[in-house]
Amino acid sequence: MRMLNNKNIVHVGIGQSFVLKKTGILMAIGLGSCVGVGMYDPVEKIGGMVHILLPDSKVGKPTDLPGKFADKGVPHLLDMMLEAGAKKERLIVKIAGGASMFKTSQSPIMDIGSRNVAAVKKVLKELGLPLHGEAVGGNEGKTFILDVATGKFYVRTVRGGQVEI
Amino acid sequence: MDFDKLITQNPLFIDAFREINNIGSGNAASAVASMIGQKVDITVPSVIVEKIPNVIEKIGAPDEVAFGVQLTYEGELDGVILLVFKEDTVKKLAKLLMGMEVEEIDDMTISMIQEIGNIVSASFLNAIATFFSVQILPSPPSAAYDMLQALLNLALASIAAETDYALVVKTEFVIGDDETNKAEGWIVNVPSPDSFIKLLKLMGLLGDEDVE
Repeated sequence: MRMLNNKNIVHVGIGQSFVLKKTGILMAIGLGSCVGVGMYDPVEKIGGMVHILLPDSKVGKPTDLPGKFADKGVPHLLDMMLEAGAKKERLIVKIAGGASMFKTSQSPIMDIGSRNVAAVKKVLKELGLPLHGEAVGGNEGKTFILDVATGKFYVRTVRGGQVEI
Repeated sequence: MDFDKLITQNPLFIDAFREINNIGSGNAASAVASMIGQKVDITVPSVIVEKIPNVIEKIGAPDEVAFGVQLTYEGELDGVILLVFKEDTVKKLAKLLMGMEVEEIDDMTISMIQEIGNIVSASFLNAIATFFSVQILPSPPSAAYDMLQALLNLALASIAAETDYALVVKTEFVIGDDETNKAEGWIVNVPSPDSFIKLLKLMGLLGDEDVE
């Protein structure tokens, strides 16, 4: 794979969404129960990523971090992609994260990883965006990487190293 | 006034909240000290008020690998406690507590860390519950070894539906006074927005008319 140049890395923090053109790396570090959604237009070489924390905004208050929620964050990223010049029918969409980090606890918030994955898939379907790859579930944190120059998606874990998805 | 405004515009409330956490961590430190027969030092808790994406950088590097022991608490106050131990800290604690060198982190070491986490958080919460005469019920702890950001996800998820800002308290503790055998970790407390408001009322800093 290409060497990652530090200067070109954009860190996608919780609730944030970024779109890059032609060059640069989008990276969401340490997705635990969170889900990262990456979109890529291979013709225009436009890549975007959102770092989702929760499935549903309906129970929440107004926010200026729409990327926190699957139901707001995925459409928000799609809008950003289209605005940057991407075409919806060309989009390659991949997702990563949604782990269950802490296994034994009984609390309902512990299941948030799989609820996040289900919510993201539902929203993608509603938007008519097919899913081209995923690395979800399990009990490991994942770093999700999109190399905008090449359109390659990678997932990095503590135990498994870095693999392309 | 809502939670975001309360935590971002009132330094007095933040100071008061730091004091409450100081009561908790002081008690946690003495519980651990008597369990392992070693000196335990704690720092004054630092209260982090940040937009949710920026919380992690105030705690550590997002991809730093560490042990986390997490539990939730409910009752009259609710929130999430995450204890963070660095890997070499876990090995030192295993040596202190089980009297053996640990090369690989195995199930026994993990259950030891979970138990320490249980004692630290129970005594932390007990001190606060006793001080305010309220009931707080901790869940069983559970442990993971992973990137710091991933360990912190659930704690932030527990409040993020209600607020863009997080109120997070980080207290560092150091076990042992032997420089070469020092074990360090952090107690991270993330109260629910409702609990923070309730605590301010319990301290007489807020009246019912001040919050929606």
